[in-house]
Amino acid sequence: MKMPWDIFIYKERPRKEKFELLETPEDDSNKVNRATEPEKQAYIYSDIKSNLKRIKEDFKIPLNSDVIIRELKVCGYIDAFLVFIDGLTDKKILNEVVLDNLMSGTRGMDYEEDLIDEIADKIINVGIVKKHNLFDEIESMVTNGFCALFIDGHNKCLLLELAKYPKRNIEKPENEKTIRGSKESFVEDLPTNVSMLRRLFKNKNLIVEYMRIGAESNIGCAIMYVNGIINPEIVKEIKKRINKVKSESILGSGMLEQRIEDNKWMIFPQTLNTERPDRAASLLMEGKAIIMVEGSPCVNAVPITFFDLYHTSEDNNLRWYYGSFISLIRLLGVLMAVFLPGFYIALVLYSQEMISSELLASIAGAREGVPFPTIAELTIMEVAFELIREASSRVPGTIGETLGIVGALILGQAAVQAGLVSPILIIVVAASGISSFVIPDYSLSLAIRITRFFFILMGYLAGFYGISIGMFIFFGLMCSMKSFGVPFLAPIAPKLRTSSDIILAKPIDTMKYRPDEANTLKKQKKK
Amino acid sequence: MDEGKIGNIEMICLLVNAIACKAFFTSIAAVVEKVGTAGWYMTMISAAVSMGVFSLMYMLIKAHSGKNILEIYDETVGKKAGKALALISCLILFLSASITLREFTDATNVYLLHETPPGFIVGMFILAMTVVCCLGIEGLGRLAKLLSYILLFNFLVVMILSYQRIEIYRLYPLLGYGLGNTIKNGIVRSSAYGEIILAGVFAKALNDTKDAGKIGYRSLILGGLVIAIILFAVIASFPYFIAIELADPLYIMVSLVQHGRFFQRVEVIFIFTWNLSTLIGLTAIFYGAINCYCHAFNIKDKKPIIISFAISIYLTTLIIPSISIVLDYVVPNLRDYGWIGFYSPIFIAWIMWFFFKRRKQTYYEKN
Repeated sequence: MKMPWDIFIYKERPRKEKFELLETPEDDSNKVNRATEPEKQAYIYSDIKSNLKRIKEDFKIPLNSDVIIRELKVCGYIDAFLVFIDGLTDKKILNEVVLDNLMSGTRGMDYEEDLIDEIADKIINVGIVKKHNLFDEIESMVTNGFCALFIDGHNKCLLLELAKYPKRNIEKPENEKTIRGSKESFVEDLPTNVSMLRRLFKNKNLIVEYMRIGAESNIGCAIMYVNGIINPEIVKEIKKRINKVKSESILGSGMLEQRIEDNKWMIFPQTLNTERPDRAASLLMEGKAIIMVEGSPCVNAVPITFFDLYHTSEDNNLRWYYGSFISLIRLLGVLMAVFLPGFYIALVLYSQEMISSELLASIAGAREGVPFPTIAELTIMEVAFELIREASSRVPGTIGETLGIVGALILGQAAVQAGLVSPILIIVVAASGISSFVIPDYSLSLAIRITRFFFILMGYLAGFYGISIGMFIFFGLMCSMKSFGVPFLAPIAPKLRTSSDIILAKPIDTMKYRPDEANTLKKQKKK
Repeated sequence: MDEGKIGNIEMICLLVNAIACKAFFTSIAAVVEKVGTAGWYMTMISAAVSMGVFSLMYMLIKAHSGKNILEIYDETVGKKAGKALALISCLILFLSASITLREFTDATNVYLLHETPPGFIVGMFILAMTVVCCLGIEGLGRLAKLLSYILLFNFLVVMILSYQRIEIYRLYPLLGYGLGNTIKNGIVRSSAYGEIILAGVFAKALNDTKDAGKIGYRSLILGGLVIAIILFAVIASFPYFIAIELADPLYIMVSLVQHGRFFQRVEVIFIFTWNLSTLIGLTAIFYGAINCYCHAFNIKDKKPIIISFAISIYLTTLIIPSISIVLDYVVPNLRDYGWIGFYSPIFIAWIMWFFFKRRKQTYYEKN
């Protein structure tokens, strides 16, 4: 029984199991899968009526109207039925190939041993045919576009791959645009995404492992990695974490990402999200694993560092001079996006003596007549900027552009003319806002936008002293973060051997090492 | 709490910051007052003395491979006396952190945040220390290394930009108040490098405890160089009678930099160097004190102790009523007698080991 004074008594908390990426990995993966856990196994019956009853119960037929059960007779007299989902299967092949062969091709057929095997080998001419005897497995395959054939007297079921459903064509990437890079992006269809990556990464060691996520949603996911390069411990850890996900509501890569990340309280993303197959391929080559989720046009790469999020796929396509230049501009953008408003408030409120007299006079002149204190002025403008950005990304394309122009130009101009804010503050907010657009990763950009408010607060509380305190905490947390056992700020903190293209690019033939932090089995890219 | 491991350079960065951060405050003026213009090389004598004491500590670490200095105390002098030695180290580290934090608070109050209450400045500082201590030695070491490169760059920029004020004639008389006085003060003020004991306290966080040797010597050399450069620059920039009056001479030196219209405002760079270096250094000392305390009482989970230490350091930092007491009594006493707290546990442990345990240990190793 808990007593009221128990809150004053210290109790040691149970230690959480923490994943550490070891230097000497052992490759004994591929052990556990949720579907093979013994307590969930339910085998199919030999009696077709029991099977039909069970299938109807499981799929809630007739309430569930798109699950079709087609009863028929094979060999002219044996009861059988097909189960499939309307809209997920290719009806043309079902009618013209499967039904036709089953009903007329088996008439008068003499079968010597197992009828199921005979039908699979001689009657049904479909590319992929599987045999299963577990209800869970069969029902899951049906929801993935397979057609299940049950035959009376047999405790095995044939699963015919007839999946065909409407899907989006491959289009240009929307969020990760490049000038010279590839112009195709992932779509929502998992096999299409896998095939796109296979087409780019033609290597027999590229492994694709399919898994299912969650308790009941049956969403498929694929883990892709290059055998012989990736550290097997990483693959093992990914599978372990995915198998642990028992949620019913995993509907995309973003949800899975949140379930498998190392630390849910850290502000920075711990997986890299990309919609570009060429980016995914380059990450595979560096010894990372790609996690694809069905229905998601983005894939996740793990393990990652800050510098993976910082770079774009364009960087490797450009000559090293240009790549370095762009990278430096981006670094400046990141620093401005995080610190500029905080520095402004620290200068204006606490360290006016550090501003040269002319600039100080200009700032003071611009602020004359503004009724709000600087912190209120800055916060209002930052929030307004975030509102405009959010609104323009939620409305249709052309309206979004108009909204941006109206918001940024007309509203800003009107606010200055009305004397609500000073023009210099508009410049600060706009410069930091524009700078945040140079950050290639959306999650990182969001993290930096939130961090900016933290530094505004610290600058307001104690000027540059407050910002130093904020920096100490901020970088401290970054240094302690890990993504699948890999330090977030590697290869700088801790310092590791790498191809030394952390910020500045180097000539392409000097970049011969894979990232050391991933502990890959092959350290060099070329011999 | 998971301790983690840190690399050799990370440890050096921690130690150099812990040693050198006090050069940003009143110690510079105090050194000039004691030894005159000879201050810049007096600190090298102090560093040399500390190296001697560190050599004794390193002998102990080498003889007890895989153990930190606190475990070595237990082994050489027994559990109970070892606990007492660990508590002495804890106390001196705690006091050193507290007094340096008070110096920092007063300097910040005078030069930067004129109207902010000291309690607020100390509170924010301790909040940051507490958060980073909770991340463990791994996070702290990585942070120290990440920031140290930036700090070193800033330090060099500030020093280079200050060259205009440097007049070599101000270094004369080279012997200050006399060679004897310089050597005597150099020996006594070796407590300025007393934080080197952290190399022993954190030895188990290294991949090999034997690395503590080269780490310690390099840290002392680098720390000594930084302090000597600062002393050299201050003594050469200000006349003697001004240098002894300045509570934060480096800040004043930086604020006097004038290189055209744009480079005349480099205080911002210095504020970051000053604050971040102090944050790293004091967090390392603070965490070292917590380590000693937890070892003495065999406490495994450091987080509750971090919080109680944070509250204690807040109180001890603010307990001194005025800056004049800090400057006239507290800091001089810490510098003059601090070596007793820093080095006596090492001397005791070394004597016990050398005269009573060493032969036995050698005999066991041979057989």
